[in-house]
Amino acid sequence: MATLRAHQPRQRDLLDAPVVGRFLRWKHARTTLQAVLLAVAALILYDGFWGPQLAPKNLAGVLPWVHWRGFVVLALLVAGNLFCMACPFMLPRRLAKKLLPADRPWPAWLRSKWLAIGILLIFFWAYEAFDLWASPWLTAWVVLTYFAAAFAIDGIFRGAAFCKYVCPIGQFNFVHSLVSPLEVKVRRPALCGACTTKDCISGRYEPKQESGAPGLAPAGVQPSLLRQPGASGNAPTRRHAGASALPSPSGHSGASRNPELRGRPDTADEKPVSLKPDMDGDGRLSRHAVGSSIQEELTGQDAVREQGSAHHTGARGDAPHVGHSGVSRNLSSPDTEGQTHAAATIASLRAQAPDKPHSAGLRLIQSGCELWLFQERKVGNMDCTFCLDCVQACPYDNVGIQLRAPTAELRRLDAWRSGVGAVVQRTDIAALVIVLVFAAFVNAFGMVPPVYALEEWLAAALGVRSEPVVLGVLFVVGLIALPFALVTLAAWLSRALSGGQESLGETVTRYSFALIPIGFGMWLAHYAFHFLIGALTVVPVAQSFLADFGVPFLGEPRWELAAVVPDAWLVPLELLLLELGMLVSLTVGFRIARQQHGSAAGAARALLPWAALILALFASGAWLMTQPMEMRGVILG
Amino acid sequence: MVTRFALALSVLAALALVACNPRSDDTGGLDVRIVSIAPDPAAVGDATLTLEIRDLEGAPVSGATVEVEGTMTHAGMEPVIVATEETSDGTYVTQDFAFTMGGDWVIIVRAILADGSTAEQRVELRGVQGEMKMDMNSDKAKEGN
Repeated sequence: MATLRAHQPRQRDLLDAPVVGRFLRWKHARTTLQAVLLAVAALILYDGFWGPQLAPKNLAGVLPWVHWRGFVVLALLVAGNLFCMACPFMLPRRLAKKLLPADRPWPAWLRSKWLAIGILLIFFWAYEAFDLWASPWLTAWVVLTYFAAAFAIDGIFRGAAFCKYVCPIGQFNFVHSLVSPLEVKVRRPALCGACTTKDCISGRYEPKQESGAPGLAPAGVQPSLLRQPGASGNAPTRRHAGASALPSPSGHSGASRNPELRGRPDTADEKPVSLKPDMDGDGRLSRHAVGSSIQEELTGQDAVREQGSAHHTGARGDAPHVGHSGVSRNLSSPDTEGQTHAAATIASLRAQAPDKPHSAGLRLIQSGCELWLFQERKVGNMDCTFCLDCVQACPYDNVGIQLRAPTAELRRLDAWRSGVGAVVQRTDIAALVIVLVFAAFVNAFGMVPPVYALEEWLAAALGVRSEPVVLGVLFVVGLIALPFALVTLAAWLSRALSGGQESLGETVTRYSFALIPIGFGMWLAHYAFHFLIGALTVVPVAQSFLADFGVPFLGEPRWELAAVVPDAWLVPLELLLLELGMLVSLTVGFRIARQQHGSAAGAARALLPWAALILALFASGAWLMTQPMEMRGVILG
Repeated sequence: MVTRFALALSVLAALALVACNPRSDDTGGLDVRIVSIAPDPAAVGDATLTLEIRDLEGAPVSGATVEVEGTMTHAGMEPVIVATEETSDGTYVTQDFAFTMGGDWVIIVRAILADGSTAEQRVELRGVQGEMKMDMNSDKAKEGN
């Protein structure tokens, strides 16, 4: 292991940073961040429902549409999916996991991004049709609906179904975090190969003290190894209580689930966990950890036979093998792979307490990944909420938040990703990407005068005066028909020019990922504009809010506070962001083409139509930014 | 379990009920009208708003100190706050007002009446034109409550 470490210097890792790293390693870091945003959400709800119904004077008008959107895209640019990390909607959802059954599998036919795409389309339309940005009351309703949906869905279904399959904000963040510079990632892959417990996906358990279960060893770990020198019950531990036969790279003592070797009690979640199939503690693993439940999930339509089984770890080197009792090992899908590992661990634990099959006395002390991203097979940021459960769960301190080249994972479109599959085979993810890319431009188009002329013309042509109907037509064309036509044409030309062998659909899917940077550049330019011209407006609005409660803060509201940069900087800055997006898109597109066609000449031919599309999007964005902006609601009166 | 679920739904329903009506703003018992905007139609740049303030009986309200704030319906813009000058009984003209961006504006009129009482009223002004003048908006600048 020393040799391993010597030859694999650690990458730059946010968890190694002096202050931020220490904070993020703290067990309650995420909850703290979530609590802060929950308090902000509570303010938005209160002011939105009961405050002045004028967006610039209301926290529900300012915080979501000026600050939150700006922070989200800036965080994605400089770091990663930080909003999901601090998502306040997950706190009530955690409550739902305790109060409600949360035992149903997410329907197999919904295990894709199509539902989320539909919700995104509806949201983008509703945003314009009902002027959500101008209505604190409607904004508050959107927030409340979000809380209710997260609570209900995750209270009914197991895992993080809401995040993975429903949440439109999450999908926005997942897609754009593909070009972010940070990734939650295994530090030393070889160490995972020797790990048998897979705490990052199955979670970490320890026997309840009162159970008195003697010497319950974790799955796949030889008891003799648990009793190795240096892993004694009195050995100090930093934070992990996972069992290990391996030397801990971070100096962990390897304290285990074994009661004799248990770690510090302050790491424990007080919720007891029973392994009875129809009972649970955390609501995720134990309830359906038995083979029958997993098999039930694997029979879904997306349960595909995986080619090869090398990734079913647990039997590498001299490490003991995880007994996958009750679990079919040759059935695995992106969604079920992690569940398979989780089931294996739990089943193995149960097998070690045959005399107490339904009350083995285990309790969950740290959840594994609830989006079923198995770290050992995880590639990139798709579906990763940066929740850091895997960081907390890994007993070897082997998961970090690592710095990377921002588009690095777009070079690995063919790689099998745990919980996702190969993105190049996911038409739903490609469709999500395309909708988000074009939505960046359609959303900005809604703020310049030509859209009003177009609406008037369309209303006259259709013979309707209903703005929602006219906008509906515009959105169907702008976010579905036009993108479909353009990417299909680009793919057809790309194949024709390069002699590509992939199908039209596969070509669309593959190259759609090259559009992410130009789309992200447009979102950045748009939301950064609102943020930069209005960042300080939160000061007078907060002053006004407090004054309503008779709490004067720094005198009269200072309404003159607004922009944080001079107006003259805005258009050049927006153009710079869009240009960067275009250049990165062209670079990514060329890399994709090179991977497919080998030669530079062949790649250039394949890229040509896509480059034309990227340049057309850039030209559209540049034109939009140089239009006089008009923030209008009702157009057709 | 059903009970818990019903309880959770009840809490949400209760929240929904209490939040079912947005707060309406106090109009202050005055009738405020924007009788003219120069230039017409309203466009980005310097502008002069002429207001007429009457009480509920229709009598002009004179001798008031009137402040006009222009803000957009979208958050994130610095509002324009100016004083007015009374040019005739109940008629007030803004000083140094400017529309800083095209789009939908809300004109907030705050008055301190001669008797010391205060009043505030909002008037929507839709479709202020951006820097690029467009014929389609020529009939769009309109007033209303």
